[in-house]
Amino acid sequence: MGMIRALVGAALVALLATCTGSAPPRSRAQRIGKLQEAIGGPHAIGRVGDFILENDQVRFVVADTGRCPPGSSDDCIEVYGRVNTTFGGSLVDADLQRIQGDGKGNDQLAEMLPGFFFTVIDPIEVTVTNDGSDGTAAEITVIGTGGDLFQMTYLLNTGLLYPATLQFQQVYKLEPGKRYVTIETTIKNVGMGAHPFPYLDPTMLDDLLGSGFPGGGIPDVSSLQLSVPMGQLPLFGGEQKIFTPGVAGFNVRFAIEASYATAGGFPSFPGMVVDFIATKGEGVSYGLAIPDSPDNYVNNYAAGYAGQDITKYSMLLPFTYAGVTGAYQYRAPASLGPMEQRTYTSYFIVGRGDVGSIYDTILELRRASTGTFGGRVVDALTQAPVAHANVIVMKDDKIVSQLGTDDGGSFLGKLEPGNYEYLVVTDDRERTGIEPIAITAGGKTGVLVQMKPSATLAVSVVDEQGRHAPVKIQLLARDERIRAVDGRNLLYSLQLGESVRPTASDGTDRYIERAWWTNDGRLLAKVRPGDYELVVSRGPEYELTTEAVTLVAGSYVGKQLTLTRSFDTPGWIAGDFHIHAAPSTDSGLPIDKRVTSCAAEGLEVAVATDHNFITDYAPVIASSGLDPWLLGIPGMELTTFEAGHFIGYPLRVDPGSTRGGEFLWAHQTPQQLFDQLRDLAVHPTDNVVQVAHPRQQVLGYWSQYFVDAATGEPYLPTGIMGVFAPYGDEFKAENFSYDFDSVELLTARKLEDLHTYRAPNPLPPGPFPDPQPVPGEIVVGRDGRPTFPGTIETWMTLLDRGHKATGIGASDTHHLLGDEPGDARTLLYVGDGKDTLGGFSRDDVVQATREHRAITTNAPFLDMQINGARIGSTITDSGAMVPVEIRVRAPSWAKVDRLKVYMNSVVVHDLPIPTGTDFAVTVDVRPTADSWVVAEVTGTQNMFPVISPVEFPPLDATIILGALSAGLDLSTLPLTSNLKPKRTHTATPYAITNPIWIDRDGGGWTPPRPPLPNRVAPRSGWPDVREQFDALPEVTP
Amino acid sequence: MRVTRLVAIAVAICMAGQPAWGHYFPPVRTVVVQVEDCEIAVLIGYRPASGEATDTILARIASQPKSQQLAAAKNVLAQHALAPLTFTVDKQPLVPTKVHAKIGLDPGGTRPMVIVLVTYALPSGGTLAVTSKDPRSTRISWADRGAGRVDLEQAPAQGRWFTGVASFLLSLLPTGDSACAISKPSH
Repeated sequence: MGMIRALVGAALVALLATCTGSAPPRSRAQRIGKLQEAIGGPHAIGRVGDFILENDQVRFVVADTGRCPPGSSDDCIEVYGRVNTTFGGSLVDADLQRIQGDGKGNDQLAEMLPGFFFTVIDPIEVTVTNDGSDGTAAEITVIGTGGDLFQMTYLLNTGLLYPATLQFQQVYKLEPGKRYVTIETTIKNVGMGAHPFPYLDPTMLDDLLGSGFPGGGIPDVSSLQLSVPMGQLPLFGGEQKIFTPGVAGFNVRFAIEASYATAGGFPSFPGMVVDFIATKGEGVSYGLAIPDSPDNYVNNYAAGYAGQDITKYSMLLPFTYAGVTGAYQYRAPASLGPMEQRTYTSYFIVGRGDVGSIYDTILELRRASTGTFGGRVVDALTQAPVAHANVIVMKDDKIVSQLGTDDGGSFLGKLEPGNYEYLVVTDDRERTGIEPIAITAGGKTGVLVQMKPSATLAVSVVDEQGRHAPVKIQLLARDERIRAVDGRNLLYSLQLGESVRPTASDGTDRYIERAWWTNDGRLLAKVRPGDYELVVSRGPEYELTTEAVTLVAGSYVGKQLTLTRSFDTPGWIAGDFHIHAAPSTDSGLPIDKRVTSCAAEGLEVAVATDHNFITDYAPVIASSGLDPWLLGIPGMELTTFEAGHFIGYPLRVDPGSTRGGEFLWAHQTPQQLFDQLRDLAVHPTDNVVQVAHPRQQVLGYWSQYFVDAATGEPYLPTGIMGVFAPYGDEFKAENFSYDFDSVELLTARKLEDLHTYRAPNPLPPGPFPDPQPVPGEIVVGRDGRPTFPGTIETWMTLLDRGHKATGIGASDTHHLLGDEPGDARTLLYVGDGKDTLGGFSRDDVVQATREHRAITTNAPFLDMQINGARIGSTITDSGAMVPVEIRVRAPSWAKVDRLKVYMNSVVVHDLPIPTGTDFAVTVDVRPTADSWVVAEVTGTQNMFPVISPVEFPPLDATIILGALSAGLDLSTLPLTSNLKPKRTHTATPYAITNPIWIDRDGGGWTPPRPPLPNRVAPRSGWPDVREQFDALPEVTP
Repeated sequence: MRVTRLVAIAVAICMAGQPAWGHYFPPVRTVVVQVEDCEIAVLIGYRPASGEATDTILARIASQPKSQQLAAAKNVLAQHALAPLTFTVDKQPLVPTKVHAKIGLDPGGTRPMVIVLVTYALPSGGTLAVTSKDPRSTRISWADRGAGRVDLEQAPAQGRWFTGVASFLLSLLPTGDSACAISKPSH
């Protein structure tokens, strides 16, 4: 009887389910036919022709190949290498399905693509292999050949993988109802013979990279047994904070670097072992995990990761760099026979914005037994909900997960059964204590968390004219413990995801608790209670305004302050021509916050320069009410992986493009890049092409083309530098182009890149590269060239040889605190009386830049005149002595103490500046031929808190090479040598003028050294007129 | 196809195809100056104006013996193409070293057109001036094929068309050690 009742019951349930009329959820895949079908959001780049893969939960976009098929019309525009990486066919957008909500979408993923060491798929074809109409998983397949993500690692790729005889395939499968896409990646041997991994044995590898390399390459490579890792390369996007469970938590970058110290050596590549990767972001988060597999990379080379927590799902994170995170998941097979293939699986997950929602899906994938942990976070005083708080779950002092509270202060997530601890973290309250919880299988554990209240601070600031000007407001605090110890483990926890609180780093106890950039000098904010110094600033033309303030929990404090002007700069305006915001992959900063920060730092011109994205600040400036303070100019940083970064402005914004305009950056010669920027410009000739951070390793134009500081010309590197030199035709020395208008002399706080690096006196502990460095002298390599050539010296060489690129300063800002806009800036002379907003135009900015009327500075004002002529002028003077008038002004927080005057690259005057803030002097120079003159001032004062120190080494390619070099002797490679410029330091005052050129005889200025041989390479693809003529059909009688 | 037939067709099309509403198409002259190490190669495309101008040219060609009409077409059209243009270095006129011409019909098939390739020897240094007495019909572009022969600081952008320009200046840089031998004019 009971069984009958049960059967009847089941039948009724089934019948009721049918009667609801709701179809089971499905997934679907199709090519995007109109832009409305794509996903919107900060990093959405999917467009018509790409592929959408979606179900009732999540949406993804896979880019098309981006190539024009043979026989395409002239209208076909190639869009591979669209924004981030070199090729198409990758996963470019991902979001939750937002059925009733924000129709624009909230994609924050930059990109994800498979990586076979550093080989990626160069797609031949992207197709829908199952549209999902049959109710099964919808499927998109990408097939292609191997392409180099970095040309610099080409030789390593060749030695390990030899991709030429391999075919690669990536299948994206989305099941109905799931919040993850299953990625099946296949590597297939399409060659005639067996394909071993690594492809070359150590002896052959030595021929390729080691002693067999011209000039001698990587030493001892013949004794290495390498492995071939395969996995994924996720670029999570600047809005997303990366998290890995275990020791790292949100401190992924430094935890990876710390893991290098325990690296066991090859065949295990060094890096941090993680169980999964997740992110935290506003409204959406992402995750990457893999299933259990006998080919798991970490488990097969476990001896190399002693001391790290290894699970059967482990992945290796060898680096995270410029938004790219490597995830090594599987080892390659020992060998693939002809037409043999191997497939491995990854899961890419989309969550609600916290780590916990990602972890929920991972536990589901692993079919783990779980219980739930949920609750509510409220203010202890008012019982009001605390929204957007982070509930950090830990076990055995290691981070397990992070759960975010919603607007009602609630949180919920799954955990495996066991005993845990948790605490709650926000930026404006004290952390809670650590509390224990127990999770049981199928059980529900709930908690009510009461956080101590914050204090409320209200500030109103006016400038010297009584205007509510944009200002920066900071709260300075003190802590005795940081006089000698790194503040990051005391003042805040990167592991828990707390914000950085920059310290003075000068032996004092000062640090910045919080900072705000305001549109109108008004602030109302919740902050942690404490004793503070309120500090208001507005760029270098204002003094600091300070006042002590005590903030008590649950109480309110209001302050009214007035700014004091330190000096005026009639005729000059302040601009920053290198600024990033949300459209850049590696910046998560909304544009409204960006323009506010520019205005608050006293900038009058802001050029938007997002990576491979043309942005216009003007509409946001207008809507923010900042028109009276700031002029926005649309531009872009044309960003290549290895050929350098180049800025163009003013550019046209194409509203029909998902990246503001159409261009190519991969496999282009410098001239092609410059030409594209000029083609995109509002005006074909009145525009600026600017070389960004020219000496930065990997990302700098002069570094990548090996420009000799002594000649200004590129040279061919040999030895170990040659091993890591890009190989493409675009890198040939003859393709180097001088067709740029300006160059960044000072980028951000990288004062160490200004001048050619000299060995410290006394020398630090060795070992040192050959030849032995001499204390106090320039460090040179085996070829006799400076190992770290200065930007200034190279620029001056170009001036000597007649190339008049305008030297500028720019911030390259991506974030806010510790990376503010204007921390390096350019002052431009636009004309007396024109230095007010509305008084000068975009054209004036371009003209002043092209005419070299510019000063590079991070605070001091440094003017120079000769015979009444200003910076950038060419004067005629045949006198034996030419008087140079110099005027220096600086705020009291950026005193200068030294003045140098250069003529034709030689220091002709070197003077102390006794007064620091206000100094005028006239010095004579004695040119015997046509010359140029430049003035430079420096100071030693710490500009904290207006410009805070560089506390952590900037993340650059050193990280990757450092990881790859474990077990190798790369001490002769400049990046890995222990004799290199110090990257962490305080920010000290610096300024340098552009030249005044002296024409001795009035017959036109002649450079003091022979002109550069190749002023510009021919425009590639520019048809030869003779060939054009010959190709015309001849009419014959 | 015989040139006479070509010309006849052109005339026929020109006459018959003249729109009833009498649209006038102005002359078009495109000039691409390619600067090389030791010479410039100039590619000039020219279409006469529609109507009377074309009729006059065709009539002049038709007046020649049939066997010489192709050469005549080249000569007459090339003369018209080059007539308003002068090439000087430091105000010294350059002498063509080679002149080649090809004729055809414009893409619309209504007017004859000529493509002329002229080369001139270049001295070391100086200012190359390209001037047109008919700037309204002339578009000028240039390219530095010699990679370093022109001072780009002073030069207009390469690879772009400049319309309505009466004079076009390029500062030439010295050629360096290997001075160019000045070749003699030929035809």
